[in-house]
Amino acid sequence: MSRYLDLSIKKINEKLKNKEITPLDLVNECFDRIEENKEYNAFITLNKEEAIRFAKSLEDKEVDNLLFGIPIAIKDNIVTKDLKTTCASKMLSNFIPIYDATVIKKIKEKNMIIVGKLNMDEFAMGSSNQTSFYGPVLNSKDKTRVAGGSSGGSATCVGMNMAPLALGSDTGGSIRQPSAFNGIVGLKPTYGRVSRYGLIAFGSSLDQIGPITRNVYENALLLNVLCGKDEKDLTSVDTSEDFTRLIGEDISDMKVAVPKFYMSDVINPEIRNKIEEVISFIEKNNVKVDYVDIDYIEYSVPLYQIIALAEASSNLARFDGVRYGYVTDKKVESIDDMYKYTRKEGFGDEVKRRLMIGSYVLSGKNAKTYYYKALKIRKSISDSFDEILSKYDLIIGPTTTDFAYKIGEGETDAIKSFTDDLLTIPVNMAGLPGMSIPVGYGNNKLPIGMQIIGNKFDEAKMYKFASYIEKNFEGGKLC
Amino acid sequence: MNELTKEEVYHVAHLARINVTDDEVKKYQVQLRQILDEIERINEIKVKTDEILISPTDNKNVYREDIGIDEDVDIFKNAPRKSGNYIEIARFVNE
Repeated sequence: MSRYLDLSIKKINEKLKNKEITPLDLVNECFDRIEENKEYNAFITLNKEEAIRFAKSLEDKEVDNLLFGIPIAIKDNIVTKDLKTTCASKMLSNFIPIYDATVIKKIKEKNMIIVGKLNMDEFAMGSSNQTSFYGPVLNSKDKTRVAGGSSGGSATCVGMNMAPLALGSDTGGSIRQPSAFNGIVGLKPTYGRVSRYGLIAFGSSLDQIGPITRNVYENALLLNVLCGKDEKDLTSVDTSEDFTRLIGEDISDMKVAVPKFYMSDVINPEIRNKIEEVISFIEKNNVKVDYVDIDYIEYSVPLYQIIALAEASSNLARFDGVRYGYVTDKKVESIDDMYKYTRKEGFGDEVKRRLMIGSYVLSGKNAKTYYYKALKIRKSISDSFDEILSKYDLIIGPTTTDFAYKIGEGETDAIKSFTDDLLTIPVNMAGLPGMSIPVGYGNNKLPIGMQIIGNKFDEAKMYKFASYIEKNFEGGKLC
Repeated sequence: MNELTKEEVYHVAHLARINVTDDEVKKYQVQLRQILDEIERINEIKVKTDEILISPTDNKNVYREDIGIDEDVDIFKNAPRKSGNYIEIARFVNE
C-alpha cells in the first residue's frame, strides 16, 4: 500500500502537480486505510464509487489549489446531495438529501474528494460517541476508550489518518473534546464564520461547523475554504481572509489570560500540570500570562442544558414521520400517537431525554424561571469574556477535565455527557472561536488537549499562537 | 431532590411527543430529576443585568421577495408514504 497520505498536504500537492501521483492514488489509499481500520467504526457511509469516479475526472484538470484532489470525510449531520445522511439516528437511517450543505458546495468547488460520512453521537447529542445508532467509535490512540463526541468519527478518522481532513460540528464542545481525546487539531469557528445551511440543526444559536485536521496549518487551510457569507444563513458573516497568513510569526509580547476555574481541582492534575508547562514555556518566550476570573463560567453545564435543549426540542419537532425520516408501523388511532410512536421508535435514549428536558424548560411558567434566566446569564458570560478579551489576545486552558475514558463508562449516567463539556461550553455561549491542539501525553499514553479561545473573528491570531506551540513546545505535535 | 412524579414524566413526554411505557417512566423519573437538579443551580445566581442574549450575532433579519429558489429539487424524495403529488399519512378523521 502506498503511504502518500502520511505526507503533508503541501507535499501531496507538489506530487499532484508533478504528476507523480493522481487523485485516484490518494482515494484508493484512503479506502484501503478505512478498510484496514474498519473496527474503529469511524464511518457510517462510504462514498466509494462516486469518489473514484470523481477522482478519475480530475486527472485532466489543472491542480489549481492546495486542497485539489485531497480526500475529506464529513460528519453525518451535514447534508450531502444523493449521499445518505443519518445523523447517526434510526430516524434518518434512510435519508438521502436533495441538496448539498453550503460547506459541501465549497469543498466540491475546490475539487476536494468526499470519501464518506462519519459516525457521531445521535443528532450530535453526546460526548463519547456512545449514543450513535451505529455503535461507538473507538479512540485512535487506545481502542478500549471512547473517541469523544459528538464528532467522534471525525476525530478518530483524522487521528488514524484514514483521511487527512474532516468536518465536524460543535454545539458545546463536539469538535474540541474529541480532538483533544485523539491528539489532533480541531477548531470551532466564531459563530457566523461558517454557514450552517445544510447542518442538521441541534442548538441553532450555538452550532458551528469546523475543520478537524492533523496539524494547525492544514486546519487554517481548510477554514479558508469553509468560511464566508451565505445568503441561505442569515447569521453568517462576510469575513473571507487567509487564515494561514500569521503562521510562523513570533508570539512574544502577546498577552494571554488563564481562567482560574480552568485550573481548579475539577481538572485532572496531570492535565493541569501539562498546561502549566505550556504556560512556563510561553512565559519564557515573552508572553505575558495572567490568571483571571470569568464570572459565571462554572455554571456552563446548567446553562447548556437549558439553552441547547430548549433549541433542540424546537428544532427536532420536525421529525414527525410525514415529510422524511422514519415512521412507525404501528396501527395508531390519532395523529398525536403517530408522532409519539414514530419518535419513541426513531430516537435513542439520550435524544429523548434531552427533548423532554427542552420541552419542560420552555413550557408555561418554566420559560421565565429557566429559559429567560439562562439567557440573562448567557449575556453576563458573554460580557465577561468581552471584558477579558479587550485586555488579552487569547485565553488558554485545558480542553477537557480528564482523559478519554473506557468505552461503556458513564453510559447510564444522565449527566456525564454534559459535564464532559464543562470547559468548552462557555465558548459557544459567547459565540467565540475555540480550538483544541495537542500538547503532549499523560503517563497513560493518552493525549492532552489545550484549548485556545480568541476574540470574535480572530482565528488568524489563534492559528499563529497554536502553530508556535506545535512547532516549539515539546509534545506539541502528536500526529 | 425528590424524583419526578409519574404524571410529570407523562406530561413532559407528551410535550415532546414521545410515547413512554410505565417502565420507561420509572427510569425517567430518576434521570430527568438528575438533569433538573443541575438546571436548578441557576437559581443560585444573581445576575447583574436584565439584558438577554438569544444569539451571538449582530446580523439583522433580512427579507426577500417571495420567489422560489432551487425549485427543481424533488421534495417528495424522502417522504415515507406518497401518492402522486401528495404526501400520504394515515387517515384519522372519521367518515
